[in-house]
Amino acid sequence: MSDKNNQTEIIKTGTILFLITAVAAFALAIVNSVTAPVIEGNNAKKQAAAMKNVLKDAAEFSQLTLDSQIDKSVSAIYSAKNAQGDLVGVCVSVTSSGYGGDIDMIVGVSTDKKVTGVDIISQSETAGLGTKAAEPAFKDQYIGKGKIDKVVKSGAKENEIDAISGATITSKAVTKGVNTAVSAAEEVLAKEALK
Amino acid sequence: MNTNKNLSVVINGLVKENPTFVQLLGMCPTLAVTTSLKNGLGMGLSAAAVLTASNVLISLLRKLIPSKVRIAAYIVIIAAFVTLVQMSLNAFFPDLASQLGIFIPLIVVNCIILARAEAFASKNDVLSSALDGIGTGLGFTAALCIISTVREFFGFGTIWGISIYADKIAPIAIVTMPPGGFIVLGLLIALINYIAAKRKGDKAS
Repeated sequence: MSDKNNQTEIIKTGTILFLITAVAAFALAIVNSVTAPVIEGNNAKKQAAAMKNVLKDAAEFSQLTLDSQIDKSVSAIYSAKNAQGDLVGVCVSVTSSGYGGDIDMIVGVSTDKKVTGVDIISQSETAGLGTKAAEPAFKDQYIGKGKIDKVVKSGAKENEIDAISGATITSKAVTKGVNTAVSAAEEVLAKEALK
Repeated sequence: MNTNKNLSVVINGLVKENPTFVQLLGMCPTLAVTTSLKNGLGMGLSAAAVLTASNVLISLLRKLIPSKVRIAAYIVIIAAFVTLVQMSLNAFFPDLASQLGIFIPLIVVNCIILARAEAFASKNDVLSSALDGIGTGLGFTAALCIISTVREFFGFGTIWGISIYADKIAPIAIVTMPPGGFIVLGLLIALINYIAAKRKGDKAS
């Protein structure tokens, strides 16, 4: 008899817990159906704004398929066309590992393989030191340059970058990301030129 | 009498049993997000919303939830509300959501919320539970705002992102880093204990 009581109690307890989770899942599904399109729109807008920021001549972007030769740290490449429909360059989404974690950035590269802009999308570098990588004073150094040979403490020459003081690892990480992006862009642009 | 009691529930959570400064609950988000006033306020209000909603629902269901699985049931309810808040923040306040990052989902394991569910909402009626949620939530928010104002002012030289002296004197960068969080929190608790002890002494004499 007590066995039977025990069984009903287990079933009752299980049913109540199941009902609570079911209601919770249902409520989440409804809210998700409302917010998911908005979130997607926000992300797309953010991405487009970031791409426009690094490649100012561009008006239209289309995502390219990545082939196996391209470095694994590149997550997406977009070809950029101006309002007349001419290819003006590519935007490369690339991840580089910095001092505090991954640094996600977008690098714009023009058809003559020069960097047109760098934008840091997300990073977790040391506040006040590494986070300065997102400031124009540092990231605008890349503009007009191709691949970077060296990160120096000060007095950067052609194809060199002045490091952020106190954040050499961050500076090198961003540079590595930019170099990877330029290589990827070179490959893609070479292929686009054949078309 | 009733209004008095209700008010005392709110005041209790806000001051006497302030979750951060008195009970020292929820230290992880407290130290992590209080680098700027904007983040502190956003985190505090999000946690307060989850706390109030979960308190109300748990109080409503307190007779239905079997005591053997109550913790599991509370966690499901809290997690559902946190996910709701996270999705809404992502959709409607994307900047704040990206600033708070991982700490929004971590509200689920914020012990303040589970503590209030277990200690208060599971034993009290809906109205008191709602008021307890509001009081404790606002207490948490107020504490985060105080800590983050101090840290932002000394660490970045700004308040609410507006520069006060940032361009004139270099701010103390360590205040924005984790060790600075501990230091500021410790100093603030010391200050609050000092004031509380002094007031007690005044009353006694």
